[in-house]
Parts: sequence; structure tokens; C-alpha cells
Amino acid sequence: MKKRFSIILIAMVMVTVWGCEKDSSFLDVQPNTFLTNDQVFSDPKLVLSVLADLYNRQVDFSGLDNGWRSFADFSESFPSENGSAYIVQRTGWSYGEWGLDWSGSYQYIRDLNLFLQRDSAAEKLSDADKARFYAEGRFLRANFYFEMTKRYGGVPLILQPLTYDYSGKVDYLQIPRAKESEMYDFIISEAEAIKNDLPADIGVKSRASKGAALAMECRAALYAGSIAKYGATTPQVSLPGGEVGIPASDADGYYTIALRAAKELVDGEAGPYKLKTAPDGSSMAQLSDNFANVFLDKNSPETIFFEDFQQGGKTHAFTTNDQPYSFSDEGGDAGRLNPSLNLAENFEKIDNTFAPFATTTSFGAPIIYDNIQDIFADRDARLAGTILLPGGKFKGQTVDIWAGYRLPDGSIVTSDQSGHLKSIVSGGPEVQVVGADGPINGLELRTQTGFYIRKYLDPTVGSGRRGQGSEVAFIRYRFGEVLLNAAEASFELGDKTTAAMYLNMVRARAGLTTPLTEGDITFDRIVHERKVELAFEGLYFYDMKRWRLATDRWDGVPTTLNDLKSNIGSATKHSTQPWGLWPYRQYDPANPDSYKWVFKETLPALVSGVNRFLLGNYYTQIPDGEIAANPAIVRQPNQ
Amino acid sequence: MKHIFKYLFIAGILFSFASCKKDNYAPPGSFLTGRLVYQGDSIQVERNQVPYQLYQFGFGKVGPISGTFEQNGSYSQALFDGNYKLIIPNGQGPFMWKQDANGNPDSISITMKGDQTVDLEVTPYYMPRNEMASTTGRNIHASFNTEQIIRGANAKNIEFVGVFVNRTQFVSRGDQVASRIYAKDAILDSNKIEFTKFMPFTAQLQNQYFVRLGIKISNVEDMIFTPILKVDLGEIANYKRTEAEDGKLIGNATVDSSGSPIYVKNITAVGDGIDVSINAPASGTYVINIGGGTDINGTTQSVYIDGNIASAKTALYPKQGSKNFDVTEVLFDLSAGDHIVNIRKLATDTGEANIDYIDVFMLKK
Repeated sequence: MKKRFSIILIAMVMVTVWGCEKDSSFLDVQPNTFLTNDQVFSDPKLVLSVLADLYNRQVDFSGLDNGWRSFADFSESFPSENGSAYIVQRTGWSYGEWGLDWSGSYQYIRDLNLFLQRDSAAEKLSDADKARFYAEGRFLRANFYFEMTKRYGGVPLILQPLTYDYSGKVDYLQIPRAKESEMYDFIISEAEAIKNDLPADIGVKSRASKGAALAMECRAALYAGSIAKYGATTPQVSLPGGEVGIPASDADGYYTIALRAAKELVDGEAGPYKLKTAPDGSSMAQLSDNFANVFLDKNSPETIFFEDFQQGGKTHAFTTNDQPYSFSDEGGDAGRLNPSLNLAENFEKIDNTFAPFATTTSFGAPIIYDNIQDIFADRDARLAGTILLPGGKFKGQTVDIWAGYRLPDGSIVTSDQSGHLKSIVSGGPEVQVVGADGPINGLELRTQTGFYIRKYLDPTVGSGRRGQGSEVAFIRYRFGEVLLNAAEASFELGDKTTAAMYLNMVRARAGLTTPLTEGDITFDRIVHERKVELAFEGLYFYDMKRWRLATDRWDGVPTTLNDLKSNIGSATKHSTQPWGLWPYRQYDPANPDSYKWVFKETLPALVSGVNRFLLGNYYTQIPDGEIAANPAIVRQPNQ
Repeated sequence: MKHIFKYLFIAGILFSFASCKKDNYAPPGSFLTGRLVYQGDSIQVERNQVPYQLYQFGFGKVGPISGTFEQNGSYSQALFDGNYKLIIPNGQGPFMWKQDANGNPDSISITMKGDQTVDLEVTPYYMPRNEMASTTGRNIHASFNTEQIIRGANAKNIEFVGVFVNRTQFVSRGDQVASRIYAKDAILDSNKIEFTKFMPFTAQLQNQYFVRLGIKISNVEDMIFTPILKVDLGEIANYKRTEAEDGKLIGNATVDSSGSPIYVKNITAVGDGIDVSINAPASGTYVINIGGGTDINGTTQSVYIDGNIASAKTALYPKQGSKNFDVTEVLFDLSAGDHIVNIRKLATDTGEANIDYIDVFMLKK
């Protein structure tokens, strides 16, 4: 018994001695699962990785990783996917359409504000690194507020991380909306403040550069100027507090800023940006290829700022979703985004005139073309650069788009399966009666308008596979747009000669070599040029909004064939339903015109709705829950 | 073992009964209904386009219960009993809704205790009055007056008026098979406005159509409409088309077969024209539709039957291009049997029109 007692005593002594170890050496263990703020903001590589997350959380209206549907709609295209037919079957948009995740957005802004706070407090970073990171954070914040402003007008402009003090009172966190003009003034002043802290290097495309800051400033000032000028035509779309709407008297000031920022870029102050041009003497087809390559070439001198994609990092499914059906790397995964005839006919003829594609004579008889591409001849090179036309080439092969045989009596022989074999006349040999790539009404994943998208479509082998994806970068700012911004700002400031000069630079690259002169420059010209140059880049919708043209363009009245073919190039032309252009082969063995081509404008059968843009759609609704949580937020007009 | 199953079965049934107890609130059961009215006349709008919002306070966060007015200006909302405030948001509807000093829409307090009818008195900018619709042949004639209600500082101009025709009773700018828009310079306050809209002879044949006339007010998004007017175009019987080139050419008239369609041209001098043989299977009123094209405003030709020039009727061709053949309609009472339709340029006629075809059919009403 005594022995056992002494053993216990010894054990107790040993345990107590253990406890004598110093607290600091025992409890202060470096965590090995996360890094502290001090650690992160002392190593430029770690700061960059924080910044990478912030870059990744930028939003785009249309984006390659944002779903192909973000490029669809507005009667610019037809969605060839049964689950998305609602896009052409609805009769308008809800007031909440095109909104951002409000609380997620302010979380992102808080993270940006925290980043800026921590970066400015960092002690171990070199001054140069610190300044560049700081400028990048401010660029991302300004660019994100720009995205919010485009959708909502003025929003609460929060530039410090807000912290709740657990007092039970939240008044000091309930920040009202800034004026719309204050939002644009903020973006412009941020760009001016940071531009010299960012590298003036055209090789920097996936991170903020001086060029990116200037391009953002230029676009923002242009938007503000046009909202001020054209907002006057819709006085209902404004709020008494200025949260929506900018006084018309501010227009010239903003246009001047836009022009100045554009000139800095044109003058090479941010690096030698220039248009990506084809060599002199290129054919129209080469010019089209060159235009398509603007969006594929990551080293293009035209790209100012892009969202990059890479194997091993992130890739996107744009090519998987939109490749021509018979080219699909992934069985039937293809063909969803079909540009409409409404858009295609906007590409003008090389003599600078507008004309619909000629399908019938003045008597109503079909015009017969020897080759399927003849109807598209002598058009703006951007037509074939933006849209994959019937008979066009992708990955070196020809797309097979035709809707059937047309017999002498006008009847059509076709099928409900693409590439199907059938007898044209009863008892005759079985031949292919419809293109392998469509069009067939209601048959999804093949074109239903007669066109596929070419812009951003990646010809790299395997880019259409689901697992692999495409590496093509999404261009957020490019020099071509800057030139058009400069042209518009010059025009609005009354300098049509300069406007013509900038427009001609962009047009010459597209094979439109007859220069426009001062007398040709009208508002409609400016609207038209942006529509065709910037199609499917996520800018068209905001152009329609800032010019207050959206209510004319999408007026809720069905688009007839006559509407479609008239007033091309008019800014106020309505376009509410996406039409297609279907090629047919002539079948008439006794006639020399057999196997030649005729075309017919066709409204895809699934199109039953019309686009109607209400005055309340100009500014996206701020969710009711957010207004209830922060009563200082005023509601949007007309909602 | 068998017993265990039996008990389990009984226990299961008991459990399922237990879960039958009501476990939730009753659904809202009080109906708030009403109409948009101006001095007792209901305001007709486009369906699903003019919203209203109901607010109920005292339950934490406040958000609107939203709904839209029907085509005839009525609304209906199922609610719980309680106190509500109703507004129509700014900029909605073809009328003025009262606003408070800050420019926010003024609210109507509604206390729900069982079903309630609340008519919303509003002041429209214009009211359509005295709407009428009638038909001759396949033409729809409609007319109405506009009465300007809001005058003075808040007055607004008319942008256009229009006639809209649809196959169903939903009729508006978006829901229509045919429409015609008349710009504002054709309109004067309180004047009678008349329209004629020809309903083309289409494959989707329908005899009854629904017509609404509407006023679009400048800088106001929503249109105000008349109540629905129903028109009966009559049943078409004994339809037959004759190509003009198959008729007998008179005077200078010649056939142009250079393209498609083939048509008759050069009806230039007095006395030129075409004679076409038709057959009337039964006696009655027949519609003769002439597919004509002209480049000249106010072009007319005369149409008579079996050489009876004294009974000639005038066909007025719309100017839509000399090869863009649109239908012009004349009506004749015919006895059963064969007849000749004489189409002539007479001394009283002006302009020049080409002719593509002659449709003849009977209307049964």
C-alpha cells in the first residue's frame, strides 16, 4: 500500500512539472492552415494571389464564363436550346432583370475596401509594389461601381469597410444612393488618380494598366455624357434626387473628358495600342479572318484589358455551347447562339449603303444565286468576321447550312432531322435534303436562323470539349471601342471631321475603304457603327439604354418582314423578334438553274413573344428586401 | 409475428391520422376587387402592363404585394384581413395618380375584413368616347372621339391613335393580328376619328374579330383603350380567284409576263380595262376584291357588272407601288348565274393602276 502511494506521488509530481513549461512556447503555435493579414501583406506574391481573387470576382454583362445566354436576347440572336426558348417567347422583361446579386456585390466592395486599407497599412512591401497594388484595387473598385451604375444608376458609394458596432442601431450603416453623376465623377476621378501608378505597357492585359484606366474613364465619361444629353428626351426616367438622370447641361463636360481620355490612348501615352489590321492588299475574306482574330489573338495590339482563360486555371464553355452542330467535339453539345437576320443585314455594303439581303425581285420572284455565299458578297468584312454564314468556314471546313430543296412549283422538300437522306421526287434516289448544321424549325442545338456565331468561337482543337474548354480571353476594353468612343464624343461636341476620321480608321480595317466625310456623320451613323463593330461584346444593350433608344428599339410591336427590310441603319428602327435567313437549293433538273440557291427570310417557329422595353426597365429594380433593410434607398423611377 | 405486423399496421394508421391535423395558417381568404374608374366609366388598359402595389405595415420588413390590372381596368387580390395601403407607382397608367409633396404616389388606406370592392378613381389624360365598329365586306370600320380630360399645366399631347384587331379578346399593340396607326397631326380634340382596316383573306380564316381603339399619349407609356368591340365579318362562301391576264383585255391594256406575278398593265386611257367572267352559284351580295398596284395617290377605276355602266362603283387603290398588289374591295348584288365583271378607266377616274387578280366571294351574315 505504501509503495503504491509513493508511485502515485511521483506521477503527480511529474504531471505538475510538465505544466511548468512556459505558456508562450507551448500555446503560441504558428497556424499552418491560414495566413494572417500581416504575413500576406508582406510578400508581393501573396498580395498578388489575393488580388487574383478580386480580379476573378469582376462581373460582365456578357461574359464567356457567364453562360452563352448572356450573349443572347434583344432580337440580336435566337437561342437554339429548347430550355431557353423563353427568351423569344416572353413579352418583356421584369423590372429586376439584369440585376446583380446586391449583397454579394457589396461583399465584394467590402473586400476591395479591406484590401485597399491593408495594402496602405503594409510595411514590408516595396513602395512600387504597394502603389501598383493599391492602384489595381482602386481600378477594380471603380470598374465594379461602373458595372453597378450601368444597371442601377446611383448606388450607395461606400469607400471604407463598414463595421457594425453591436449598439443595436444601424442608422450609420444605412447609406443612401449617390447621384448618378457622382458615380460617374467617382469613376473618372479614380481613373485619373491611378493611371500613373499603373504600368503603361501593352503587354499587361489581364491586369490593370494605364490603358485600362484610361479606357474605363473614356467609356464612363461617354456614358455619362449621353445619359445627360439623351436623358432629356425621357424626362420620366429620372429621380428628383439625381440618383437617376444627369442634368443636360453636364453633357459637354463629360464628352470632353471622354475625348481627352481617348486621345491619350490614341497618342500612345499608355503604350502603342493600335487596331489589329490585316496586311495591305488583303482580300475581303482575309479581312474577315483578321477581324475574327482580334478576339482570338491574346497578343493583339488592340486588346487593352481582358479576362484571361488558361488550361490548368479556368477555361470556359463558349465554344462548346456555340460551335456548329456537325463540328461539335462533344456529340450534340453545340449551336445555341444563332445571330439573327436583324443583326446580319445591318452590315452595310462596301459602297457605304444599307440594303437588306436581296431575296426576291420587285415582282416577288426569288433571286437565284450560283453560290450560297453570293448573297453576302460585297459586304462589310465584319459580317463574316462576326457571324458564321452559310457556306462559311470553321476549322478549315465548310458549315453545311441549308433548309431544303425548292421545287419548281415553290414547294419545299426538307426533313425534321439535320443531314437527313430522302427522295426528292417519289421513287427518286435518296439524297441529303437538309444541311447537317440546320436550319430546321424547333430542332435545338442547330442553327434556326441560318447563322452561327463566329466572334469568340475558338478553332483550337479540343476547345469544344466539355472537360477541356476554350482559352479564348474575353475582351473588356479594346482600342477599336476607344476609337468609336472618340468618334461619338467628337460628334457630340460638334466636330464631325474628327468623328469621321476616327470612324474611318475602324471602317478601313473592315474593308470599307470609301471614307465617310463630314456630311455623312449623323447620330444614326454613330449608333450603327457601334452596333456592328461591338456586336456580342456586351455593350449594345447599354448603348441602347444610355441613348434612351431601348423603348423605340424594343417597342413590343411584332416585327413584320416589311419592318425588317426597311429603315436599315436607322437608330430608332424597332427590332422585337429575331428573324432568320434560310437558304434553299433549287431542284429542277430540266432547268440550268437547278441546284442553285434561293433564300427566304423566316421567323423561327418558336418565336412567339416580342421584346418590350418599359420605361421602368431603364434602371434595374433594387430588390425590395434591400430597400426594406435600408429605407434610405429610393426606388427606381417608373416601377 | 403476425400480431406484430398487425400492431405496426394500426400504429402506422394512427400516425398518418395524427399528421392530418392542420399544420399551417389558413390561406388568405378576403378578396379585394375593384376597377379603375373616371366618373363612373372604367378605364381600359393593356393587360398585365399597369401595376399596383399593396403595402401592409407592422410585420417587420415592408415590401409591396404587386399585381396588375386586367384589360378592362379591374383587379382582384386575395389578402389576409388587416390594414393595407394601395398605390399605383409613379409613371404607370394612362392617367394621373395623386402624389404627395415629395413626389411619391399618394396611398389609399384599405381595411380588409372580408371581401371588399374598392374602385380607384383616377384622372386620365384623355378618354375615348362613342366607340363604334362596323363592317362592309372584309373591311372593318371603326370610329371614336377623344376627350381631353387633363388640361392646363399637366396636359399632354396625343402621340398617335390606333385601331387594333385580334382573334381573341386580348387586344393591344402587342396582342394583335392587324393594326393601323394614325399620327397625331390627324387628330383634333373631340373630333370623330375614323379608321378602316381591311382584314386580309388569310388561311387562318376567322369571321369574328375583336377590335379596340387606343390613344397613345406623349411621354406616357401605357395606352388607354376603348372597351372591346366585336365585329362579324361574315362567313365566306363560293370563293374564286381569277387572274387578270386570263380576262379579256380592252383598249391599251397589255399583259406583263416578264416576272412573277404576271399582271395586266397600261390601263392608261379612258375606256381601257379588263372584262372577267365569273359565276355566281346563288343570288346575294358578292364581294369583288381587285388586286391592284399603283404609284399614284388617289388612283381609281370603275367597276360594273354585265355592261351596266350606270351602276358603276369606284375602286380606290392604295398607293403601295405599281407591283405591290393590295386588295381593293367593291360590293355587288348578283343574281345566280354567269356574269361579266367590267373594270374600266372612265372619264371620272384618275391615276393608273396595274391589276393582278380578281377575287370574288359571297358573304353570309
